[in-house]
Amino acid sequence: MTRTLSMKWSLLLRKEIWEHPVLSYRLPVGFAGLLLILSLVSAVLGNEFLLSNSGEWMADIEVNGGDVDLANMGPPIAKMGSAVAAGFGFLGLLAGWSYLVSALYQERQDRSILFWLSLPVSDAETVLIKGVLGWLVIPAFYFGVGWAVGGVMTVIASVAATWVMSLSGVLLAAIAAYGANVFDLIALVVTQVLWSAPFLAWTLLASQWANRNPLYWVLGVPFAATLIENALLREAVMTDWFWSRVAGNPELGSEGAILVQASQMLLGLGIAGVLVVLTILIRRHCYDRLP
Amino acid sequence: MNSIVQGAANAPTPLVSVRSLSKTIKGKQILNDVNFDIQPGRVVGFLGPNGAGKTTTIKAALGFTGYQGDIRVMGLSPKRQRHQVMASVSFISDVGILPRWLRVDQAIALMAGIHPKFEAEKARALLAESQIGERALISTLSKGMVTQLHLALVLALDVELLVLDEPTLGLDLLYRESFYRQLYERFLSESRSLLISTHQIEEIEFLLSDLVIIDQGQILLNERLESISEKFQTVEVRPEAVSDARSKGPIFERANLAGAVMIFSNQENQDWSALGRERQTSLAELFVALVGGTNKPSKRNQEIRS
Repeated sequence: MTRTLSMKWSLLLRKEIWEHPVLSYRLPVGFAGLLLILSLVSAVLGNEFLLSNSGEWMADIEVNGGDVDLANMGPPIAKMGSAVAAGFGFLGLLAGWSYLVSALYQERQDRSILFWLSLPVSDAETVLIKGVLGWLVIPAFYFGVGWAVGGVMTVIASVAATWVMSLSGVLLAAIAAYGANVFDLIALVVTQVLWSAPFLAWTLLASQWANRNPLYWVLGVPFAATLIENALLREAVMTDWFWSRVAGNPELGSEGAILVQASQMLLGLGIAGVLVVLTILIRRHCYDRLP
Repeated sequence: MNSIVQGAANAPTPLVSVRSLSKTIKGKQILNDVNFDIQPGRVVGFLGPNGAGKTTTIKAALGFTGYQGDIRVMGLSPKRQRHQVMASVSFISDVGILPRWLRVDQAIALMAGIHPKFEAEKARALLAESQIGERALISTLSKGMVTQLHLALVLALDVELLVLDEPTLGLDLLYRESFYRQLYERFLSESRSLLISTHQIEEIEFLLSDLVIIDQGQILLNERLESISEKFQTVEVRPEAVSDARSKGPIFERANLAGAVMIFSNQENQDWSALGRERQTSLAELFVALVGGTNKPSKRNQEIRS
């Protein structure tokens, strides 16, 4: 048989991307293009603005109240590029979550669900493919695009600085610093992705369960649980734990965060696994919700 | 009624076996003790009025909905093994179940990557005979073209059973004729079976080998076509013989200018020449007799007579 499981899963992933082109790739690529255009425009116009008619530098550059060492502008420029990459990573998490909200709900809203059910694709495959796309693929793609854009913006800013201020070595220093930051960035995005796993898995389950807007379930049930827990126990230990997975962990950016919080990560992943299994079971046994 | 409800053949390994199938939705009994088999190489017409339970039965048999009872498709349970069942069964519902955002070439690529029995070249060859372009979005195709595309995808599958639920609903006569002709020429073989649910009985009559009629969630008739002509006798009764004919207990009666048409069951040894002329029973008349008549002339027919 020439068809392999990996080919099947890759086709199922592509099918999801075909179905959601805006969220999957058009939004980050479009946003990246816009940022690049703005970077180029600001590099050209900004330089013209900052230069006097006689061609001399007119501005004092200060960062945090102190003068910038112009000879060492590479690392600060790289930091700006890294911030763009990180921003794309978090935008990817948001886009992935947004996809998961409707992933299993939307497919039941029209009769094409009968076509998908008539294919030899199991409920587990369907749920896992959608989960992987929203949880991993979309954030990873956004981060990849962001990293590329951040890199190009770093180059544009470095070239502009080199050109206007006649500095040497800025470009190479910026690229080196940007390259060195990539591992920290990946660690940051990966830990946030792992940290949010229970919330994203709950979102997937709510998307399967909901007969109306799944957002009511995604946010409404935890909110109601928080109120009940507060009323009964006068504290909200469990729901606080849940909401921390929604907001992200502020300590995750710190050094060694993965090791420090390993037990919490594993607990979250375990709970996410249970929620995904429940989603598969609901999908298998609740077909009466078909259109 | 039980004399009418009998199993078709007792072949040892049916492709589909439905036993004691029941389903209740919100307290309403949708299906009640449904039993039938589909043998290899048979073409089964699954008829019933709106709301009779046809689509629910089909959805249950394909694992699309929950049920009580036992269903086996190729020996598998559709409730627990739907995706394995669907490797050997294909399904076309009424027009419009193909996703509208999909392009034709994407649909072919998807089927080729997902379905172990799909031949992409065969699908492309079938589409080349139509007006459907490979880069076309399904949302831009007409109803007829969507059905044509779905049929091409299904005909490119090497499956044992094809299930059709009102496949030509809303299509014009030309598309309907082309649809069934392609099925006849390109799908049917000794080892492949077809289950068709439709209201347009006359259009599929030439394909059928078996007939299952369902009404109000219960099977009224489950017969091979050859035994239908033995079990049911249709007589064009002369006007002066209508009273005598009625005394023989027709299950269906329709008045016409030349007297009446009556259908009798299990009276094959009768000499009908004294009453009129015996002719072949049409499936449409039999359907009306069983569903509309419920073993006796319908109210409407009585109104026509009076």
